[in-house]
Amino acid sequence: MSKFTDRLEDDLEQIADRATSSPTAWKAIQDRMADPAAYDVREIIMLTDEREIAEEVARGRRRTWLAVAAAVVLLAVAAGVILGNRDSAEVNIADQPTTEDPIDESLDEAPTTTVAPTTTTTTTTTTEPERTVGEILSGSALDPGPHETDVLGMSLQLDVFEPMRTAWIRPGEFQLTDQETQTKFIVIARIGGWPTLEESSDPTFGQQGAIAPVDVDAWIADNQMIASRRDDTTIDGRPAVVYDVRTDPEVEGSFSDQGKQNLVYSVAEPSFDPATAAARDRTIVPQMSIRLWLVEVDGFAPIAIFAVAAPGPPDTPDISSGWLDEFEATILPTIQLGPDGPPKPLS
Amino acid sequence: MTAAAAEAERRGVLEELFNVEYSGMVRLAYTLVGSNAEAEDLVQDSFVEVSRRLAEIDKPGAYLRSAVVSRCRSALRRRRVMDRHRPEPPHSLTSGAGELWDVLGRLPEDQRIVVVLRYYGGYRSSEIAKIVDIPSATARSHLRRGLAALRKDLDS
Repeated sequence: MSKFTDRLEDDLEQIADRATSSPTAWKAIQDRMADPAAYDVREIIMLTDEREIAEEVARGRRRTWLAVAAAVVLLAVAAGVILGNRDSAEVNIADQPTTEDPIDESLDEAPTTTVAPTTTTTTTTTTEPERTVGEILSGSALDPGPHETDVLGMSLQLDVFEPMRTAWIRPGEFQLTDQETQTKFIVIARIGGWPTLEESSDPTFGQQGAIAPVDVDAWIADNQMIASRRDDTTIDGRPAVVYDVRTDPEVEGSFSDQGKQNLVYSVAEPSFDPATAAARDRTIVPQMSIRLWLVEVDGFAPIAIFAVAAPGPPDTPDISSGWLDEFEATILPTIQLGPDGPPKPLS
Repeated sequence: MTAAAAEAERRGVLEELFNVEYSGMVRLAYTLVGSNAEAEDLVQDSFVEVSRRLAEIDKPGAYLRSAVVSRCRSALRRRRVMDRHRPEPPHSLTSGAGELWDVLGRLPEDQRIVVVLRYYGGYRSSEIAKIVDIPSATARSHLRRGLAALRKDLDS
């Protein structure tokens, strides 16, 4: 075992030590087990093979608009002993011969450290008020119906009409994606700035975008993006502008593991911190279609609402082609914003 | 055995599995996806998957691990749609672990998963191949490439 891999093990252990287990986890699992309708939808998420996803999508069409009746946990009472031990004897897999490849043999050495069992004993009683509007929580599934969040610093309510889940939620922004295909996205964020092409092309860029948050036109022009629509409109009575935009594959940008990408926006923070800026911007790639509404917030950072259609598996690349129109016709009119206010602090 | 007794036995098996595995699975998922809430959600989904297929599964613990890793892999793919970066490291990490967090986040997800299973989970590459459902040679290849990338980035 080398010094390097020793360090790797120590550092990974340190990262894992930051994980915590909810004291109500067992109750939450039992609730999920008692809700087969919700599970039918969730099952799709675990599939990793794109062909399997496509087959499941075809079968899953009949489940669209399935009413998922389960409510969020109202009374959670959990007591349990949580013992984590990765050395369970259930992984009873014969070691592969390693002599055919000396490098592989060294990789198959038994590591010097193993995951230490962790024991936590907790007894907690919590009572949550009954909700008629579901709160949007990180990593959660959203049943069809109304949902709300204050993660933007201003309250926001919207209805969803098919099972969705949060792909990302943090102060200043959140993303939802559909559970069935994971190609239809809703992103709502407080905008701190739009990046120039030069900033967008720099993979190490870690500042607030230099283009003013209200100036979407300058962002589109500077990044040489393709805009096929620009209309004045209103969202919940507030002035807004809507755009259909795509990245131009001929224009240079930085590259991700999905190919060329363009930065979209920097999330607004009350006290902008360059140290965290790198994790506060978002990208798009040419394969995506985007409809963007920029909503004015008097005296504070504006709100951008994105409907994003990402390509599906190779045999159904256009699976979400109707998503932008569907979002505009169904979910967008249900959006309600609270009184004007600043973005929420990062921590 | 009555249906009620069978259901009680099934619940007992799942609760035992929860007691033994839950915390460790959350730690593993967190190391992969970097979000505690998301890690718990993925692990809880995996328990539901196990509960549904318990009658067909010989080794629930092994099945659970595969389900968790599969869901983490799927979550990482979903995330790359619009995220340029993974979540920031927890503030309390040492600089070395924080650096690893960043570098690990830039690895392709398959390499990341294999490296974490190997050097956090302590699994041999033949076991990793079973958990991730890839050929052993592929697991070793991901491991070799992942390690080389980490070594290059962490040493520079």
